[in-house]
Amino acid sequence: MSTTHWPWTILQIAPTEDRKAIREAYSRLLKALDHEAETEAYMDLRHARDAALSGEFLHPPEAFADGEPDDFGLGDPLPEGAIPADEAPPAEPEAKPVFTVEYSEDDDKRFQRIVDLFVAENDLTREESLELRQHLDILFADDRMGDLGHYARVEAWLAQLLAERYPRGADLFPRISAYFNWEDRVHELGIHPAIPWLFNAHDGLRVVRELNTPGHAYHREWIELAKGKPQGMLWTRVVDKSRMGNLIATIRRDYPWLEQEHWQPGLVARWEKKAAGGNVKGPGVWTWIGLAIFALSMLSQIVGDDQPGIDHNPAALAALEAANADKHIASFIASFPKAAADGRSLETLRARSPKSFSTLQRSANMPESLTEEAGRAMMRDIADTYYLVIDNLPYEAQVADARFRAAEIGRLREQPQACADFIRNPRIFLRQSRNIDNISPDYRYRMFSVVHDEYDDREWPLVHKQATIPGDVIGKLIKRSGVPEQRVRDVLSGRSASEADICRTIGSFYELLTEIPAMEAGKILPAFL
Amino acid sequence: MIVGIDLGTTNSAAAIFENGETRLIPNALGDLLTPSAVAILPDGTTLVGKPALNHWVLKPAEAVTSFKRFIGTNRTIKIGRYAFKAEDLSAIVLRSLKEDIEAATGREVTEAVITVPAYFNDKQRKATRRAGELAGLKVARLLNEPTAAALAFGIADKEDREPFLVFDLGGGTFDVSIVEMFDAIVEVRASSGDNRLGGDDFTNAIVAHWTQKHDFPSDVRRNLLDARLFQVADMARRILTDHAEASVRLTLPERQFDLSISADEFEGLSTSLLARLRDPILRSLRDSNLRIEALSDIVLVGGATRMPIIRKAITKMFGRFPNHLVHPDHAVAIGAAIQAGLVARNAALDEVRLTDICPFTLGIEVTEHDSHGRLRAGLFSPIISRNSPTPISRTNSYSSMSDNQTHIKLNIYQGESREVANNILLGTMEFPIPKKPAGQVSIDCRFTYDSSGLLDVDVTIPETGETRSMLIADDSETLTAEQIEERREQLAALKTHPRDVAENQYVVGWAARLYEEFIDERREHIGRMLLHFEGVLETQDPRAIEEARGAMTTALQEIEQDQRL
Repeated sequence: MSTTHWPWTILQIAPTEDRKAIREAYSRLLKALDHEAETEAYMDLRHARDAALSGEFLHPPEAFADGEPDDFGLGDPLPEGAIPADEAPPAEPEAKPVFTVEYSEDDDKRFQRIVDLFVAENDLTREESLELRQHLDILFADDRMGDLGHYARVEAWLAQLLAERYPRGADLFPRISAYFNWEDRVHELGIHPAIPWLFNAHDGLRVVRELNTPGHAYHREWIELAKGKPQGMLWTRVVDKSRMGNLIATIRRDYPWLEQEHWQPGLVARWEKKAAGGNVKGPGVWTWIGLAIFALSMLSQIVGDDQPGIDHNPAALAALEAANADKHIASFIASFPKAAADGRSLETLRARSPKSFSTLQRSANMPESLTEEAGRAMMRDIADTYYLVIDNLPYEAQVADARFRAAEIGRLREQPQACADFIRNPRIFLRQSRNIDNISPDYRYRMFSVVHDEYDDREWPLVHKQATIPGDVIGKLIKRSGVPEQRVRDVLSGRSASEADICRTIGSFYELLTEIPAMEAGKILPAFL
Repeated sequence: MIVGIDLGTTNSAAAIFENGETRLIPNALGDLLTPSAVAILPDGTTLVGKPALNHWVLKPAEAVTSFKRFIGTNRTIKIGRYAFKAEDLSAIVLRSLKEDIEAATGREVTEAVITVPAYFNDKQRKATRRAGELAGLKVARLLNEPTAAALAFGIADKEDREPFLVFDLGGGTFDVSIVEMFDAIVEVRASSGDNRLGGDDFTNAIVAHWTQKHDFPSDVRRNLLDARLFQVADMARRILTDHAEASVRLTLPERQFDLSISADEFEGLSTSLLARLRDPILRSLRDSNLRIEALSDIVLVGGATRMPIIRKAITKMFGRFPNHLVHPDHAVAIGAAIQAGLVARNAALDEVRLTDICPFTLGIEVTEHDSHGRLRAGLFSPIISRNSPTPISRTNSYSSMSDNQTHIKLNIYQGESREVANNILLGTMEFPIPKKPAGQVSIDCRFTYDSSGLLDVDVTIPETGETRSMLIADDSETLTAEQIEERREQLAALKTHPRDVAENQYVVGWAARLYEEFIDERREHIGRMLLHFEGVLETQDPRAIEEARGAMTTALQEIEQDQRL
């Protein structure tokens, strides 16, 4: 193979997966230049090396070899009509764009590749491509996702770049949309199903027109939003808690110009006319809107959860916190079976019990090797570790957790056989965990709760229905929860008690469970429930 | 000649690269390490290093230590009737090191590579450079301390190395760097740190513990108590390096206290400090996309890494034992000397290259609209993101905020937080822009970060084509060449002892300190020795003086042992 494409042209070697060869080429070239003076060349070289080491540039960007712009290296070309053309008549409401592109690599890498191909195709100067990459890197780096301002700048910068230099730049965003395949990811990303549609339409006027057509999938939501708003203006304030409301709030916040100018039909028409007459330099209006909506779909992920109006309501706040606690816990638990993949989340477990840690690690790879006894011991340790995490949550979240778990256990009591089976054979759990996606977080969570609450090897809830709580445990409970004795006894005996008392008592009880011998815990737990 | 200088919080050291190898330069007392302490006697005589440290314990008002912690701030440090900034004091130490090298090599020293903690910010770096200039040294390069240590570690055998981690805990700063070596290229992949965490904090934990436990007299001058307490606490901390228990005696005028601390107690006191080591390590691993297991080595640098609690924490954190191949106190100076050789294009280092990164994000303050259309001020807009390879230059565009705005004020920040309030303000600049409706005037803001880690900012207004290359006017004023010359002369006016006198002076100061610390027979004994030694000094007979000094040193060492109880 010859050195026909970036980054091999810079490294001056043939495409290879041999890391040593790549690093040698880098070393040779670096030593040939004064990297402290020739900074541009140095940056180029470094970037080329990193790209070469990523193993993703072994083949030239064939997709563009014949100048065919429709395939952005995504594999199969997009189906006809996947991206509605600007001139196309309004689509039928049910004819939402469908993408059938198959993805095998993870999204970030794929995105990188798109960018690289884009750079190659458009002959971006070195400076521009570096800048593009840098912006996008920052944009997609996790810890920058919260930086809305940065997004706006990237968006502005890209828009400018595209408009000024690349006649085909306006196509980039539909392509990125295809790349992200929003529709398939609606659930995963927790975004409103309208977003992919909005995004793919990338045509603001038509969006509005269609939304106004009865029978459109989001017509009702739209009408709801636009209710009572003066005509001609789209909306004047954020409506309720729906994600649609968020979307619109975001548009208003970050794209005031859309509302002020372009989304008022008269202005848009004028603008278009000017553009058609060639008097206006700049991106087409649909590019702008496409950009805006792309930005929004990113943003909605970021801001999707902070629902307007909720922050001043204490009850809602508590609910939110409870939800967060559950999420936190669920993700913590979910991380356990990934022993081989995620070392970080296991550090706590490792610190607490090296033995269980190694059991877990081994059994994640070889579930068959796990003995029942080791499995139990391990689950016990996981449970303890789990409590460490709980202990670090705010008190309200701990209470919320206790409440959540009590409800969960209540539900599980209705399926005693499944619980007992699971307790008897955690191997099944681990075997299934090898493909983590097969197990819903709910299931994992529930199973975990059961294992924890019955980590002693009793066959609860089949056996210990009549256990009692020893006096010293009650004493500790009273001391720990700060609830007066009579009220603790009320809670424990199931007599009517205030919610605060129940939460506090249960919270303290779960704390206590980690401190008293496992056998004891196993005996008193059913009585408590 | 270009030399390498490790300007530390507690100790400093100098090294040169010569004939293909590095050599540490001893000071006038023959030590390879010079304590970063400065004392100025009422007559203007300046003491540097050990003698100054002795003097500090005796008369804390006339001496100062650990001033590196204040470098880059406006804080005035008073010594007797003199007032200094930390950079002036650093300059005095640098000057003394410079003289040591000149005495050892017989050649004039004009340029130096000076090391700084990787996590030092722009102000601290610029102040360090000024310190070099004040000491009459052209600063060829500021080098990050962990990078220097990595150079020393890596160049030793020039073998390829998978990524290793440099853990640099000095007297006042903590740095972590992840470095790899390939074909004699030393590449820093990520750095992180905490420039307010060091061995001194551990000593202070002991001081706080004792202060709480004991009822120290309140009539003793505060800074005297502080200085002596710090000194014995530091001694106790060092004793704990190889003992399970440390007992020391604190001598105050008229009073004595026997203080003790056990290794376990110390570990308890250090919990929160140890916890602070974790974040920078995790961040640097995350930034370089590495997992702990992928590290080929853990290299410890900095005197504070001798503490068993630190070693224990590291072993626990990384699940393995750290590497002992580099000398924790010397590695940084040696690395600086190698860099000096690189800058001078020494033939022996022909194949060696060093590439470093910028350890923090740099950007400016911006204002944006929130969801209700209100202005949200105080947001951070990054321009150079952390761990970008240096040197680097980046440009971002910004636009005006209100109609007919006449000026733009740039607040330049360093940090990782989205809110500038949590980041460090490096400086401010203001300049006029054409009057236009809001958002219609744009500026291109260019950040240039050089290989010394120094930042330059310039701004272009594309509309007018005007470019302003501006010095960041921070509150610690930027000095002109003449001002630096003037300050240098002021500092030069401070007297120092001729080198041959310095050693005698040191022994006298040492004896004087011990005299104050002991009472009764031992005190009398010291007094008599001192009297005798001063008599010998009067004779001005070099041989007799040397002999007497030797005897006195031995005796003082013995007595000092007793202070440990």
